Amino acid sequence: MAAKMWVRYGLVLAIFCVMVLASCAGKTGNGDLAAQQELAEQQRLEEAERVAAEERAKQEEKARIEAERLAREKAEAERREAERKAQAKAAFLDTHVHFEFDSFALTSEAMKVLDAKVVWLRANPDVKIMVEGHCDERGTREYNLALGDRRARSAKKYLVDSGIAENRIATISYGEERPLDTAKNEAAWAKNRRAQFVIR
Amino acid sequence: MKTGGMGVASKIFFGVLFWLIMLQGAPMAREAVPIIDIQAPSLRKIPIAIPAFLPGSEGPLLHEIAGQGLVYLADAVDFSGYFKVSSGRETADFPRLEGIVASKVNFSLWKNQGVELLATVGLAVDGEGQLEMECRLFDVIQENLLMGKRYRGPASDFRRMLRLFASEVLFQVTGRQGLYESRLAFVSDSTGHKEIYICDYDGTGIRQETRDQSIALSPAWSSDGNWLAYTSYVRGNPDLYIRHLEGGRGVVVSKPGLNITPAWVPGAFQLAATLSFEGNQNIYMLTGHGKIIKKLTHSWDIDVSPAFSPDGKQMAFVSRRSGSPQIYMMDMESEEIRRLTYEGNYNTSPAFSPDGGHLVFVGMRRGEGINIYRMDLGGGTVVQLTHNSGDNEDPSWSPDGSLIAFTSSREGVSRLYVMTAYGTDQRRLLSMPGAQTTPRWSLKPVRF
Amino acid sequence: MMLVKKNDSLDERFGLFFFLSLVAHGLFFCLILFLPVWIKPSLPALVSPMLVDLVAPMPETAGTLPERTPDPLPPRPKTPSPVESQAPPPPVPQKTPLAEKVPLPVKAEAAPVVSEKPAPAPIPAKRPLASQRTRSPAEEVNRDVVASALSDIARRVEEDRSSAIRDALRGLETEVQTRPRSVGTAEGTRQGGAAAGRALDLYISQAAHRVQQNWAYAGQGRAREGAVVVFYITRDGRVRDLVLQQSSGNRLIDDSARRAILKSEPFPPVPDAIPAERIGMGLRFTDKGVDL
Repeated sequence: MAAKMWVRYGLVLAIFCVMVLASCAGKTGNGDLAAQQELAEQQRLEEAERVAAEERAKQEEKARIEAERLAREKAEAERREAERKAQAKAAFLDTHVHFEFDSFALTSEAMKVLDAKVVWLRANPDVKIMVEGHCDERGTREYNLALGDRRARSAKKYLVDSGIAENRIATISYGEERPLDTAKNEAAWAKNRRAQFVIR
Repeated sequence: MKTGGMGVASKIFFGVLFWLIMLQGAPMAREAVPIIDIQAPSLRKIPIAIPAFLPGSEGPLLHEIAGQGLVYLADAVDFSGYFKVSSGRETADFPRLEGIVASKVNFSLWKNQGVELLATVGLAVDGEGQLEMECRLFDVIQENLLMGKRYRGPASDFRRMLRLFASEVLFQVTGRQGLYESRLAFVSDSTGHKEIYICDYDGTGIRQETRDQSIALSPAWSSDGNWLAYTSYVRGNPDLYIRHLEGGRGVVVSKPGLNITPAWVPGAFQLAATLSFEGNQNIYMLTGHGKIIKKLTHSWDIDVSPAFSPDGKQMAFVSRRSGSPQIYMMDMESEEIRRLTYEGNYNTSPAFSPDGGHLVFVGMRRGEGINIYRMDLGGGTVVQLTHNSGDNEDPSWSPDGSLIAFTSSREGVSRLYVMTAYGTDQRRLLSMPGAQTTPRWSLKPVRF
Repeated sequence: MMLVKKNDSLDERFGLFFFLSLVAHGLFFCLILFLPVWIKPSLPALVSPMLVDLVAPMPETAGTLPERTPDPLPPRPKTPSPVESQAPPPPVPQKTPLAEKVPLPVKAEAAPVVSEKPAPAPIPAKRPLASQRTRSPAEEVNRDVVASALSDIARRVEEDRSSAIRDALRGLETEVQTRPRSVGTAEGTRQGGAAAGRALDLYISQAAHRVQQNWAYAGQGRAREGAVVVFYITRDGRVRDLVLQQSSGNRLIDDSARRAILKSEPFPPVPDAIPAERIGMGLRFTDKGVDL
C-alpha cells in the first residue's frame, strides 16, 4: 500500500516534475519558443547578413576585378596612347619636308607631310617647335645658309596659315652644315634638302 | 768762176735738199720706220736668279742663315707667281757670286743663264752681334742696279728681313705691293668643330682664333686689318660677331634669323651683312658696332654675299630675284642695280680684284661642276680659271692682285689652294686635319 | 586764110585768132632757124668727154706723160695735182703725135651746131692712170721729181766737181734707195726693189717675233698707250741707237720692252737681198691684258 502511494507520489512527483520540467521546458520552449523564434529570426538575419555580406564580397570582388581589369585596360590604353603619341611625335620629328634643288617651294608631297604636322600640333597645343632649314652640300655655303632660312620660313608659313599660332614656331637655318647623309650622290643630296622639326 | 759756181751750186743744192726735206717732212717729223705691234708678252714670269748668299765672315751662324735664307727667299719670290726662280737648287754648277755689288757682278755670265734679274744677298754680323743683310736687285740685261736695301736686326729675324726684300723685289718689277705682309683667315674643323684660324701669306704661322665649339663661318677682314667679323652658332642662332683681333673686344649682332656674310666697306668702320629678321634675306649696312644704318636691298627673294669694290663705290652681291642665284652690282651712290652674270643658273661668291678691274666668282654649269670664273668688269668677258678638278669655291684675291686663294675638293676633302690671277700654278696652300674652307685674304692696310 | 563769114561774132573771132597763131608760129620758126646765124651766142667751152682707147696703151710713153707738164725746178709742190685735172688745151699740141688713137667725134646736143662747127681737134685720151698703178700718183711724182732733181744736180755737180756736193749727192742717193716703202705696197715696175722690199718685210717680222718671244712682263693693269721703242739692227745683228720713242706711261712696260729687245741680241745677220747697212724698225709693246 505504501508502495502504491509511493508510486502514486512518485508518479505525481514525476508528473509534477515532468510538468515542471515540461513547463520549464515549455517555458524555455516558450521562451524557447520565443527564444527559438528569436533565435530563428536571428539566425535568419545573420544568415541574410552573411549572404548579403557574401554577396557584397562577391560584388566587391567582382568590382575589384572589374576595376582591375578596367585599370589594366586603361593602362593598356594609355600605354597605347602614349605609344601612339610617341610615334606621332617621332613621326613629327623624323619626317622631313623635302625640297627640290635650289628651291623652297612646297611640293604636294611636302604639303602632305606638313598637314600631318599640323594635326599633331593641334593635338599638342602646349608644344613649341623649331623648324630647321637645311641644304645639300652643293653650292656655296653662304648662299645655302640663306636658302635654308627660306625653306624653314616656307614651312612655317604653311603651318601658320593652317592655324598654328605663330609664336609656337621658331626657325633657324643650318645651310649645308648639318647633312643627314654625307654621301655624294643624288639620293643623299635629296635627303639633305629638308626642313626638319625640333621641339624646344 | 769756181767760187761763183760753187756758190750757185751750193745754193741750188741746199734748195733741193730743203725741198726734199720738206717733202719728206710733210707727213712725218722724223725718219719713218715701220712700227710693228706686239700685243702681249710671251712670258708672264720674269726669270730671276737668286744665287747663294755671301756670308761676310766664316762661322756656323752665317752659314746656317745663308742656307735657310736662300730657300726661304727663293720660295717667297716664287710664291708670287710672277718669277721664274733659278737658285742653284736645280743645277749643280749654278754660278756663284764673286761679290754683291755691281762692279763684282759678271752680267754676261748671268745673261747666259737666261735670266733678266739677279738678286744678291750678303750677310754679316756687326759689332753688337746683330745680323746685317745687304740685298740688291740687278737688271742683268741693261746691266744696272735696280734697287738695294740693308736690313739690321737679330739673327732670328732673318726671315722677316727676307720677306721685306721679296716685297721690294715684287714692287720693283711688277708694281705690286702687300703680298708678303698679308694674312689669311679661314675655317677648319680640325678640332671636330668648325672654327676660324689665321695664317701668314704662305700658309705658315697658323693660329686658332675662335673656340666656340659650335659652327663658325665666313670670316671677313676690316680694311685696317684689326677687326674680324664672322658668323657663329655658339648661342644657338647664326649670329654675327665683330671682334678686335688684339684683345677680343667686340659686339654681337643677334637678330632673329640670319646674321651672315659680313663684308667690310674699304676704308671705313662699316660693314654690310645679310639679315633676315624682317622675314626676307636682305643686305643691310651696319656700323662696326653692329647698329643698322640702312637697308640696302629690298627684293623679297634671297640677297646674300655682299662684296665691295676697292673704292667702296660699288657692291657686288648674289640675288635670286630673277629665279636663280646670279651676281648683281649695286652703285652705292645712285642705288642702281644691274645684273652681271647671264650664263648658267648658279653664280655666287663674288670677290673684287684689288684694282677693281676684275671680279672672280663661283659658277655651277651643267656637266662642269663647280668652278671659279673671272670677269673683266670693263668688257664683260668671262674666263674659267679652274677645270676638271673637283669643286672649287670661295675665291679671294691677295691684296697685291697677284694671287687668288680658293677652296678645292680635288683631293677628296676640301683644302685651301692658291693660283695666279690668270689661273695658272694651282697649288695647295696648307694642310690640316679635317677640312679647310673659305679662305679670306686680308686687304691692303688702310687706316680709317 | 579764108575768112569764113559767120553770123556769130565768135566765128569772126575764131578766124582772127587762127591767123594770129599762124603768124606767131611762123615767127617762132624763123627765130629758131636763123637766130644762131644772126647772133653768135657765147656758149661755154665744151668739156671734152673721156675717150675710150681703142689701142692698148704703151707704158713708156704713158709714163712720161705727166712728166713733161710741170716745170721741174720752181718749187711748186702742188704741181702734181693739176696734172690730171688740167684742161687739155695746153698739152693738146704736144699730144697730137700720140694720136694713134682714133678720135671719136664729140657728140653735141643739137645737130645744127655740129654741122656748123668745124670738127674739133682729136681730144687726147684722159688715161685712167690711177687704176693702172697701185702707187699713189703723188709718191710717183715725188720719186720722179727727186730723180729729175738729182739728175739736174748731177749735171751741175759735174760742172763743179765739188767733193762736198758729191758726198751729199751720194747721201741723197742712199737716202732715196733706203727710203722705206710702206709694207704691202707693190712695187710694180721696179723688179729688184720688190724683192728687197719683201725680204725686208720678212726680216722685220722675224725680228719682231724674236723680241716678242723674249718679252717678259708681269706688271699689272694696262697702259693707255703702248711703249714704242725704235732701234737699228746692223748687218751682223747688233742693236744700235735704241730709243724709247714713246713711253707707255708705265715704267714697267717701258723697261721690260727695252730688256726684251736687248735680250734678243744678236739678231740673225741681215740677208744679202737687203742692201741697207742697217735696218731701222720700231716695236709698240702693249699689254692687252690677260684676256687677249
